[in-house]
This record gives sequence, C-alpha cells and structure tokens, in this order.
Amino acid sequence: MPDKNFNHPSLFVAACLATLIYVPIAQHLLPSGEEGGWRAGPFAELGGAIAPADGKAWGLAANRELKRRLDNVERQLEDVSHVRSLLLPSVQWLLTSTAGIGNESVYPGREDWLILRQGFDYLVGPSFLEPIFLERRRRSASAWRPVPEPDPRPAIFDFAHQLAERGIRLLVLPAPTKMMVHPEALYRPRVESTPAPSEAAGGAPALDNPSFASFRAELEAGGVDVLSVAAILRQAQAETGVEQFLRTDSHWSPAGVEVAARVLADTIQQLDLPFNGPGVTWRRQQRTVTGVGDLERSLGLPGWRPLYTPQEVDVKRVVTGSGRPWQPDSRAEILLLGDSFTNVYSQPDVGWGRSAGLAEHLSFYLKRPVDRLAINAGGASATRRRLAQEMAAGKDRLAGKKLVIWQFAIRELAVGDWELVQLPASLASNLAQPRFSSLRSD
Amino acid sequence: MVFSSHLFCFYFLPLALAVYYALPWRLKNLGLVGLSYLFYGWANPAFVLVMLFSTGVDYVCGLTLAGHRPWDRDPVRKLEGNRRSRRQRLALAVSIVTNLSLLGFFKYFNFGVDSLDTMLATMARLGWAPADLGFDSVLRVTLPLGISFYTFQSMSYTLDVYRGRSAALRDPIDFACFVSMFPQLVAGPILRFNEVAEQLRQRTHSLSQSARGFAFFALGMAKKVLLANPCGKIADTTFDAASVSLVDAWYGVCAYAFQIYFDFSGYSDMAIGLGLLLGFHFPKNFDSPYRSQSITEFWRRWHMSLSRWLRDYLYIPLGGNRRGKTRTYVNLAVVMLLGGLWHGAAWTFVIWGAMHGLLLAAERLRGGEAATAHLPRLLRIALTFVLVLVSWVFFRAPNLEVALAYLGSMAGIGEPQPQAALLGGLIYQPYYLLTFTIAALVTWAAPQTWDVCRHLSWPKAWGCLVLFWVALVAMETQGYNPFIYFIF
Repeated sequence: MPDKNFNHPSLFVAACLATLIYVPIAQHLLPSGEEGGWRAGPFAELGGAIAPADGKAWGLAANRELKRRLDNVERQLEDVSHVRSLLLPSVQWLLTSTAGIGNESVYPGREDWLILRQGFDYLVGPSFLEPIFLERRRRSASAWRPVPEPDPRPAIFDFAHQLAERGIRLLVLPAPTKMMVHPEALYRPRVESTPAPSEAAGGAPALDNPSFASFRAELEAGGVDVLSVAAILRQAQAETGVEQFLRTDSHWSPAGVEVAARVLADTIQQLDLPFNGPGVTWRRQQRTVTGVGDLERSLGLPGWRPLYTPQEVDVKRVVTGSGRPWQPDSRAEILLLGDSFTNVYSQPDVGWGRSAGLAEHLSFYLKRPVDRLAINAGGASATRRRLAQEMAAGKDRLAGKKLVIWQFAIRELAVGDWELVQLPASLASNLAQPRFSSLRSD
Repeated sequence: MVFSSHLFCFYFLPLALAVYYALPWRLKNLGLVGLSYLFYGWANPAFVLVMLFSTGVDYVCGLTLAGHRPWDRDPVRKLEGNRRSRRQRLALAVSIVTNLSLLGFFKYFNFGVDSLDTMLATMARLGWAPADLGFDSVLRVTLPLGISFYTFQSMSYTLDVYRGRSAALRDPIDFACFVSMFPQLVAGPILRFNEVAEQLRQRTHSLSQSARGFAFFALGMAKKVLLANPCGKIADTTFDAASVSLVDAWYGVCAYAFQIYFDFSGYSDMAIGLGLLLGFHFPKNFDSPYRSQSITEFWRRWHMSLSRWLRDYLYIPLGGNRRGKTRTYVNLAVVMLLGGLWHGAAWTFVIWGAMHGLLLAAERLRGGEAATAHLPRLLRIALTFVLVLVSWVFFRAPNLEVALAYLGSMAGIGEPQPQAALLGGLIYQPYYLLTFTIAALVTWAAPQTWDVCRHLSWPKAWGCLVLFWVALVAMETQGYNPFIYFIF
C-alpha cells in the first residue's frame, strides 16, 4: 500500500540505484587516462579456460582453480576500485586524526606513536605454544591455503642440528616488538585500574607473550643460544631517555640497533668461539636522516595534509678506515640471517640511510667481518630458503662459518610459518636441484 | 559473497535487479535461481552441487508425498487427513535423512573426529585404552556456505507437504527458487515453505515496495558496517587476549553482544529488503531481543525464524507441553541443546544451548516467569541481559578453556597479566567508545528497522540514504568486515 506521506518513492529508489551503479560505471565505462569505453578489469580473468597448474581440468582441481580466480576477481575489484582509492586517504585521515583509528595492520597509539597490529597481537594474544593455539593455526588452512607450521621449535632445532653437523653454532635473536620496549606508546593509565605494565613487573620490562619464557628455556636446554634484547632496550631507554624504536615505523631506532648490536657482540664474545680470521677496525660517521615510517605509509594517508611529522634520527654509518661503506664479507666466520630489522639502516630504499644496520654495528663492535643474508618481510623461513637455494646453486654461504645468527621479528613466533628447510648435504650435491625453487613472500 | 561487500553491492545487486526486472513474469523465478546459484557458487563452485542434490531429493520427495508425477497436468492438492501411506512416510524419511546427513557430514564431521580423538587420548592417559588408539584424521571437511539454513528450509517443505499444510510444487524451478533464493540463503530468515508458497507463484512489485526494500537494506547495512564491525573489533581484541581485566572483560562481552545482534539483525534486515525488491515478503527475524524481561521472552524476540522452526518442527513433534511437566522441560532442554549444536559444531555451542534450555525450563517451572518477575522492569531487562551475556561467552570463545578463563575474568578471579593493561589503549579509543554508546542507544532506545520502514516519509528516506552512503564509504575503506553467521 503506498504511503501517503511519501510521494514519489521513485526518487528514493533512483537515488539508491544511482549509488549502486555509479561505482561500476566509474570503474568500467568512464574514461580513465588514455583508455575509454568498456574495460573488463579483473573480470577478464574469468574469460580463459580452466587449466590448473597440475593440468587437471576437471573435478576438484578445476574447482580449486575456478575458486582461486573468483577470489582474485573479488579482491582485485576492491583493490583497483576508483571510488576506494578516491575515498580511502581522506577517510583514513579523518578517522586517524579525529577518532584515533588506524587500519587492519596499524594502530595509532599515544601522541604520534604508531603500533604494528601483529606486534600488539603477539604481546597480548594467547600463548603461542599452547597446543590449542597451534592447532587452531593449523586448522586455518583450507583447500586454497596451505597448512602452516605454527610451532617454531622443530624448525629452529632442525636448523641448529644441520648447522651443528657442519660445526657451526646457532644463536637466535628475536627482534622485539615496539610495545615490549615502549608500552607507553599505547598504554593509558586508568586511575582505578592495574598499575602500568612496567611497574607491575617491578620496573623490569617483562612484557612478553606468556609462552616466550618456556620457549627460550626449551631452546637453551636443547643447545640453542637465544638472545632476547627487549629488557636491555627498555633499560637503555630508561637510562638515556633515547627512544629505542622509531615512532611511526615498526623497527628499532638507530640507538636501538646499536644497543642490540653491542649486546649481541658481547654475547658472541662470551661464547668463546675459536675465530681465526683477521680482525678489522671500522670507524663510524654520524649522519642525520629524516624519514617516514613504514607504519605511516601503511595507513595510506593523503599527502596534502600529513598527520605525522617525518622523524629525524642520527644514524652512525660504519665505514672502513678509508671511508668506504661497510660491506658484508662472504669469507667471514659469522653469518647474520635476518629480516628488515637487520636491513632497516642498511638499505637506502627503506628510507633510513645505509651502512648503519645490525650487521654493520655488530662488525664494528666485534672488530670482525660479518656476512649478511637478510630479506625484508622474510618471515620465519625466507632466509633459510634463500640460504638453501644459494648453497644448492654452488654458493656455499656456510663455508668457513663458525656462528650463524638468526634474527627474526619476535612476532613471527605467533604468526610465522616455520617450515623445515633442508640445506644441501654438501657442495658435492651442488648439481642437485634446490628443494625450494622459488621464494614465497610471507 | 556477503551483502556488505564491494562485489555484492556494486556488481551483483545491480546485475540481479537488472536481470530480474528485464525478465518476463514466467521467467522471473528461473532468473532468480540462476542468480542465486551464481551468488552461492561464488563462495565455492563445488558447493552448488550439494545444494542441487538437496533440492533434487526434496523436490522428488515432495511430489512422491503428493502422489504426483512431474508430467501430470492436474494441479497438486494438499494432503488431507492424518493417515499417510508407507510410501509417503518413506518419502518424508528420505528427505529428512538426506538433509540431516548432509548437515551432519559437512557440519559435524570435524567435530565428531576431534571429539573422538580427545576422548581416546583421555582414555589413554587414564590407562583405559592403548596410547596408539587415537587417529589423526587428515580429512578436514569444509563447511558449505549456508547449509544450516537451506537444509532446514528445504526440510520444512517436505514436512509441510506431509502435514497437509501446503501443496507440493510441481514446477522444479519454483522449488529451486524457494531453496536457493539468494537474499536469505546464507543467513536467513529461515523460511517455512507455507510462508512463501503463494509468493512463488504470484507476487507484486511496486515502487513503494522497492523503496521500503532499499530502506531496509540501507538500515541493515548501517547496522552491520557502522555498529557491528567496530563492536566486533572490541570483542575480538578482548576475547583473543591471553588475559583481560574485569572491566575489559565485561566491556568486551557487551561489545560482542552488540556485534552479534547488529551483525545478524542487520543481515536479516538486508535480506528482508532484498526480498521486497524482488517482490517477496519475508518474516521478521528480530524484535529488539535485548529488551526482553526473561529468557522465554528473549527467545520470542531473537532469531525468530529459527525459534519458530524449532517450535513447529521439533518441539511440537516431540510432544511440546502436552505430555506433562517433566516431558515439557525435557523437550525444552533437548530443543535448545540441538539449537545450540545447530549454531556450531563445538562443545561451547552445546553448553550455550544447554544453558538456555535450562533457563527456559526453569522459567517454565515458575509458570513462564523469570525468577526476577517481582523486580522493576528495568532491572528485569538488565538481569536478563546479564544472563544472555554470560551465555554469549560460550558462543564467542574458541574453546571451553578460553570461555572459562574469560568468565573467570568477568568474575574478577585471578590477577590479569601485566600486558592485559595494554588492551585499554586500543579498545577505549574514542571511536570505539562512541560506537559502543550508539550501539547501546540503538539497542534500548531507538525504533526498530521494521517500524521505521513500515511507512516511509521523506525525512526517513533521507536518513536512510545518508546512512547508506556512510555505510558504503565505511565498507569501502575499512578492512575489518567479518560476518558471524556466515559460518553457521
């Protein structure tokens, strides 16, 4: 029955329809750059014949392939949406500036701190070694998503065992997450509530995932050295007042990487390994670098009205006596495997300078050359896979090594896929195909 | 494909409306079937076969019950009387067994295997069974989208035909349309066949009805995207934490109560709106359930289509309240237990259902009144809400251990771990506090979508349109967009 107070419902219906059809029209019909006329966009992927990689064009394999394409189309439609790209920066700016809201991967903290969600989840989330948690992660696999190996212990022990067979010792260095060192970046004390985390822990920076202590104890009992620098960084921050993490970036600050390298060097010296190679003396040059953090970039804020001031930091570049930048040395007796925590001050394209990363400072403090194999966003397995690949291809990165330092982001303990990576048995098997033929981005 | 997605709103829905209205009347149901299978198959093409199988079996069973063959020209009549032949009883049994088997296999296989494994492991620990008796099943069954809904709906058809409430459908397209209709396929409302039987053959379309449809859709979308999603973020953060403080635990479970209500009722509103756009009138599914003054009233207001289904097709056939008090209590408990299991294959859902069954039985024992009946109305509402909150803990927690730990936090048992204090920095952000407050106001003080959309006016229409735009902008720009009932 038509409503007496609502004449012309057609206008309302037309407005709703126009809202719905504007987006596909803008996406596929309105001129975009050089292109005019109909553009199929992501739908083009549905056009080809179904021919999965395993060659089976029927049954479950075909269904899997079709499902993959449908998922791709849906995801790409969202990713390439003109309306989305038009709205997102402004809406994100509004939400972040007025309501303190980030996105799925970044949380705004107090003042101008930004927090990586995975780091937050690692810290406040469930114990990463709890059988229920591990099982839930294994069950997150589906026909279209491979089963992850959520338990880090077998992969670490396996790697340590393979290195031990070559006479190489393993030292594991989980790089802490920002809130382990700077809980004040997010925490707002409530009058009636529990004391601040650092106070609750008796002034010590004890914040960590509930599983970490037992994880560390188990590794050490199994003969794997573990260096946790969170407490030391927290202490350094308390003593010097210098922030050990970058405010809008997920990584440690130049001061933080320097402290970590110094403690790492001390730890290595305490291991009393029989290093034979010649010592090298480096010197350091201070430079000021101004950068925009990876977390701020992840927010996708508009360039026209920045919310965060670019951070200015002093980095210490490690150079030779003649002023040439530090370089990794494949003949070194120490190999550092790492991720972006290793690289953040080494790769100029990351935006925080060069020759001032973890390997450089470690070299400086040890007065020894160091070899480095680091992959940004490498997750739990990428560096080991790359190491295996290179060895299989004839480049034995482990030749002459006495110590391998394996640095990974500590959050990987709760989210990483800890696959077992088999290193080639010896260089005699160089001609054999590498087991891992391609790198997967984690 | 969920309603609050880019693909559905900007591609599927315009396409569906264009195809539907371009088709002549006699082909509209066929078009709707095609669109529904596209909608359903997008989630996983293989699951279309499962739905086709269920549809085919129930169609044949329906005709067999009616003693009709597809090529017979004469109209199919309702069955009369209560006596049914052996053939008819067999046809009904085939329909029920088929649907329950599909549901049982796809929904409960993993649960059964895991429970058996746990039981064997426990027995082995106690020395009652050899240690190697447990088995590690490599087969994990993927749950087809909406199977809990369409199997119940499909069964209601054969049951209605068997009872003589409705005539069987001769046209397989009409029946496929009833089973697969995309607006309510994934999350209801669960239709009983006799509610839409006539609409499958004859329905009207008008601009004012379409306007109401869009208004329902817009308000449902706003509830889902603007209220349920932010509340869900709060709930996820607290429930996923290893440890929470007392205040955070209550805040988190309240947020979950709002999330599930606005998520599910918002989706139901969108389904009702889409139905109106296609000429269908679906039943109301939520009636402000958190305003209930007892658990009995809560179940008259929450997921009403499921409650009606369970009442008509389970509670009453079990004897309802006609076989004495004890049997009535047992029936209530059984229905709620199975209702809990229908929601999810886990012991937490069984406990959730059992808890509601016991509360319903207790209220029935007191003559249909809650123990709080003598209290002021507001207090009765508050206490009922608290009981519902406690039950939601079992519904939300991933396992029993987490549920009990969370309830412990709500009771203030134990000292939270130091990192629990960090949660506050996230869940008390102004945006979340504001959304939480608005959600509470809408829950207890705002008019229902049903009332807003009954008679539209221009101020209401403008309000709907603005909320629609804001919700679409939020949908486009916010990554967090879960849908709770998608997995049920």
